Amino acid sequence: MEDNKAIKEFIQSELIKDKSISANLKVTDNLIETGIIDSLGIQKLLAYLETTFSVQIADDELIPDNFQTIEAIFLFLKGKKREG
Amino acid sequence: MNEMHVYLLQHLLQDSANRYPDQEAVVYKESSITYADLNIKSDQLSQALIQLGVKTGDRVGLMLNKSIESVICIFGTLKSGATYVPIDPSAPVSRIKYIINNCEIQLLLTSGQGADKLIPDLDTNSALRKVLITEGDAQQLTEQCKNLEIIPWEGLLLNRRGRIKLNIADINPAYILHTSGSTGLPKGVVISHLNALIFINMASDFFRINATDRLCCHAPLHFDLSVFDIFAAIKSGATIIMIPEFLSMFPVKLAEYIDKNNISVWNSVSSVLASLAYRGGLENFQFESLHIVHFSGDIMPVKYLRILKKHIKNASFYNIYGQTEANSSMCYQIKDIPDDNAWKIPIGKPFPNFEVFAINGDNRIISSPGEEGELYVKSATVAIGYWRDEKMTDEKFITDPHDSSHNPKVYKTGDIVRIDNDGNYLFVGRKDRVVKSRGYRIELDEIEVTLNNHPLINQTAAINVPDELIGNRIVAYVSPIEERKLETGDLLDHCSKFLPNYMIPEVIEISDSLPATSNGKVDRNVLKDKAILKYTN
Repeated sequence: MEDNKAIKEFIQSELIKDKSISANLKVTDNLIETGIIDSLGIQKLLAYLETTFSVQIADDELIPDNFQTIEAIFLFLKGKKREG
Repeated sequence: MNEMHVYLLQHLLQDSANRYPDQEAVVYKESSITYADLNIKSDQLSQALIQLGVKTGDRVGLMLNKSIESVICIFGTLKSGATYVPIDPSAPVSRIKYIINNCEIQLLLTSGQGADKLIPDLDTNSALRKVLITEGDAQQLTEQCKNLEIIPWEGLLLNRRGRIKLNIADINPAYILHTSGSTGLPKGVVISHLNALIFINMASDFFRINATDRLCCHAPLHFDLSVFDIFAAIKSGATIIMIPEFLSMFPVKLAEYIDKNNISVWNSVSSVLASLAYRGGLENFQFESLHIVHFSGDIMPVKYLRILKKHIKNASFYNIYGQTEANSSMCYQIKDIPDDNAWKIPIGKPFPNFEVFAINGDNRIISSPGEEGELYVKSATVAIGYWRDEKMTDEKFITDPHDSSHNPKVYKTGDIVRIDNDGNYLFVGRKDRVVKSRGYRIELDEIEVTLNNHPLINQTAAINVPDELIGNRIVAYVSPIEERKLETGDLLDHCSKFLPNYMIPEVIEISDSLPATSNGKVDRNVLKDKAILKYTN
């Protein structure tokens, strides 16, 4: 669950500018519908995930299912690590 | 079939509904609406709006993401004789409130989610009186806010028949689009029915749009690219394929959506196409139907254009040049791409009903290759002006300085251009501090004014760092007032209250003082060099 926390902290500090939204972020919140991840944010998030977790995210893995919530990102990474 | 005359934007729909009643007019995800239904529903909405007190010339706010309802709302508003004012639902509440009050919007059409965000923050001085919600719980919102009448969409259109006949002058405003303003507040560009119609008629002919076409609507409704997508499609009896907002983040899914929906005309800012080329896995798709690709807004890197041309084989590619104030005035069709990756794609030559010219420092129209000047646009598409900003209107919408015969109006773009050996215009830069990022026009001054309004900030410089994927990244340098400490998080939070997401600096660097020029002003050139060195990808 440490990874989960790290991803959450990254999103809170780097992607969300509004402090009140950042403070109330839950791992089950929909990051796409709420606009927390936008087209610039997704680039930052990809760079962060690839560096921090030493993974390569393929084009066809960049899909809503893998990035909908913090939990989804965590599960996606867990799956990738298992593959690796 | 009735003979139909088209004098106003809404007549485009009435005409096509006569000719193609059963054709799909709009597709959004799994749902769609036919021309006949779109025409009837927007007629019904216009009656409901009039019953709710909307009068000819009133501004009606449309705070809606793309959906079938959003197109019904556009035409419903126009048919009621009102002017539609699209508002970005993801904008900060303070910006939304400013637009509502400045345009004196009394009636807002929005989704429940949008109303949830806005209503708790509305003060009693707000111009807003009524909110029509296209989805969500009207009852719950009514309890939250006693000052506003909340009207549910459901049942609103029932039992309404016929069409309201109104006399509306074609020079009346049809819509107002807001762009970044150097004073720290957005400015509203007012476009008349005639301005838009003349552009739509020309562009539909020029690109031979017809009823078999399926045009994407990728841009949000508050962005002027959506005007071509919606009205050129409706004029031609074609189908509008609304692209869900989130798809831009997932290039493979976006490519799949384009292919699966048989989109034949694509129109977007360059950065979206660049990300499709970069991560869209284009080799996995056929794009059989796609035969026109428009890109605009920022510079398209040649390496991505090459990939796009390789995989989207049936399409003609056009670099489209324009701005909200004058609509698209020029284009350049890409034929061969030179080997040089540094090749700058020309903005081309004017469309048939436009004149453009560039005036140099000696007040002379440039005529030979290599000369530079500021570009002016002359056409009946040039907007009425800025909403309630006479000073700025007089500055930018001027009488043609080289033609005093009948006082024709021209738009002074602020863009510096030159001509190449083939007579094509090339974009060189800006006269002021406007930059493009992800296709959005950003006044760096607006960011600085916002940061300078923070009580602990002494000086600010907003700097653009050119980026090949998104056009420009924004970095801000700030210094605090004496002996006070600034936190980046607080400053970003401050920005998020006033600026849309795309205008919030990606990085804010804090230092005790900023470099100064010999006359004591912030030396932005030094900071720009520093930012480019540090933040270029």
